[in-house]
Amino acid sequence: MYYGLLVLFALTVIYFSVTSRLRAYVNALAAQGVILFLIVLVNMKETNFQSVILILIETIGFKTILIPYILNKIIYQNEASREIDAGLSNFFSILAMIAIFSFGFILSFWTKEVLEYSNPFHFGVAFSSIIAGMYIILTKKRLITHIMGYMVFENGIFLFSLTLLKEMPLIVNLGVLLELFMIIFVSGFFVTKIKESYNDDNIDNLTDLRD
Amino acid sequence: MLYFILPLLFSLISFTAKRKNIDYIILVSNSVLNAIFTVYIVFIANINLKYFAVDAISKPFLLILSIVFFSSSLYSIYFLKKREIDERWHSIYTLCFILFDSLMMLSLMSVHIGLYWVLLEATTILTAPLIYFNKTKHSLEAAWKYVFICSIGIAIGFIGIIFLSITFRHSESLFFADFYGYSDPVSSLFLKIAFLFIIVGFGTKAGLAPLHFWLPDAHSEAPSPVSAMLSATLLNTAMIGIIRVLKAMYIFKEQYFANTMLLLMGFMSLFVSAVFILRIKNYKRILAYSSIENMGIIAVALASGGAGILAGIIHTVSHSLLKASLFLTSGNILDRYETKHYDETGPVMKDMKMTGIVFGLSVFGILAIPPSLSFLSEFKIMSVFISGKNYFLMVLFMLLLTVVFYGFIKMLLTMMFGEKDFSAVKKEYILQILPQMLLLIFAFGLGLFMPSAVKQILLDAANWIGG
Repeated sequence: MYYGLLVLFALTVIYFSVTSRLRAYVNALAAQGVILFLIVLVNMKETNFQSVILILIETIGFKTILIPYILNKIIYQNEASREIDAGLSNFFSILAMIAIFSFGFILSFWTKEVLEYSNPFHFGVAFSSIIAGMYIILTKKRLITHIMGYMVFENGIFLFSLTLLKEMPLIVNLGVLLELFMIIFVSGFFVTKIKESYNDDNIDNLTDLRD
Repeated sequence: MLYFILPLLFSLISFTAKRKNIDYIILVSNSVLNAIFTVYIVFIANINLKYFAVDAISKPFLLILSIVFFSSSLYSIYFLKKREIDERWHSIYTLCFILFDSLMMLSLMSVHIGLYWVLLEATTILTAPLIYFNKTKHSLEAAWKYVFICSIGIAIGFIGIIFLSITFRHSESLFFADFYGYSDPVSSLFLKIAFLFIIVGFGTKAGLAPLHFWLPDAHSEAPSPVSAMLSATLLNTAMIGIIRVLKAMYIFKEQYFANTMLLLMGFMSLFVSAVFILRIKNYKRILAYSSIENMGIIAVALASGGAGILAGIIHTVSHSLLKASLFLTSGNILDRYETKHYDETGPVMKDMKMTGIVFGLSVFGILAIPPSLSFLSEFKIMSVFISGKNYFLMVLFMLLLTVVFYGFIKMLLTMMFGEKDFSAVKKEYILQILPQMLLLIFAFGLGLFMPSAVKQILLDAANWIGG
């Protein structure tokens, strides 16, 4: 089951390269929240009620419900439905994603000896997701998609942090959570303002300030 | 720690009252109380709580923060009075400004890397409205880039924290003290990877090249008092995170890797800023690139080790005081001529004599002309290069600084003695000049005579880092 969940998570990341519908991206992110919750549950060695509640809030509450709700609202306000054609075909994007994941797995199995305590497959998926998030940010045109790329990046880091032997203290965990929410909220505000000023949220508009 | 209730209370009052006069009172009283509290925790009390402590390294940074915040708060009153701002945004400015300062104080005092990360990222969220304050297309673009690039940088820093946690896994703690006192064998590879992510991640926020893109945009588009705070204090707040991890690198004998990384990013920052300072004409952007340059100098100084570390600390103090003065004074020039291009301004020395004098002195200071504190720090860095027989680095360092020197002098002469006629001499208000004079007294005064208490604080900070 654990490996199945990791494969599912990887598929939701790859899904970003086969579609250009913004709501499909949001659904993929919501699904990632559920998968992350299940991965944590499967991995949990001893059941701690406080930890379960916290993870439930972090994954299902924030990553599956609240953040997708805000993203959908931004998409609705900006009357956008699809990613702007950046000249990259879906075929090329899939190839790029496969290359990213291949690199992630090669790196993780290569460093297996050093990472004696860690699961190389888990490491591979997490590391590839972080790179994939950066790839989405770099290749997509809409600012709202950049926010979603950032979320993929964050979810990759979350998966990566599960390799930690000890949990973060509650205060830090809550802080991280609150900030993730605020970043999405503040970025969403700016995306709407940029749309009002430039008529769309294409990153190419934001090139006035350069030397 | 009860002190931190005060800024929260002030913010609440500002937000609910939405009265301009109340905001002015809040700005002044908060900055005065902040200064008193800082003097108390640095010189008198011994704060050593679980998550927060005033240790040797945080002391100089706290003092700088308090001086710059006091000056910027005073200047903010002039800035806000000069403009027709609705009560809502007036209050947003006040509350973001004072909470921004409190968050930076807490970040500097944080002895837990996880909590430090949270606080540093929170400063990004709070400063975004301040950068967007002018509500122009450009400020919107700058604010977006700032939030987005810094958030990615901080997220990269988080990966570094994960690697640190793996490196020191038996301590099961994210307290810096537990890293330093770790007695089990440490994986050199993981520690190096952790430092790499930390220096790139936190370095993004500290304005170190190559992830410095947000800085010239944010610093040039933000209101002048905000630019002063961003440049003089926020960059330091990010730098202290790198310094705290650098200490761990020194303890576990990884100084060669750490110093090489710092040297690489430092010289890259110096190169980028030298190139742009020479070719651009927007004076606020030149000041922003100068911040990148000075962060580069600090990185190079820290990488030099030994006396270079003390030079790095001195340069941090000097850059903060002088850059804050420069940004605040650039606000006067922008208000007078309504242009950011230095060849479109009138003769500042003729139109606004005091502004011209203050701006000129600040430029001389930042260019390390004696008796500026920067002269002391840059002289020390050169001595370290010579004593270490690093002649190539010394020449490269001098060459890049000379390019910056030329760019600044060209800008200064054009602005001070330009030929454009803007007719009437403009009246200058006390709040337009007094904050910068205060900063300059410290910057040049400490260069001429450094009291033993201040000297001890700087020495303790340098000794704390080790190397």
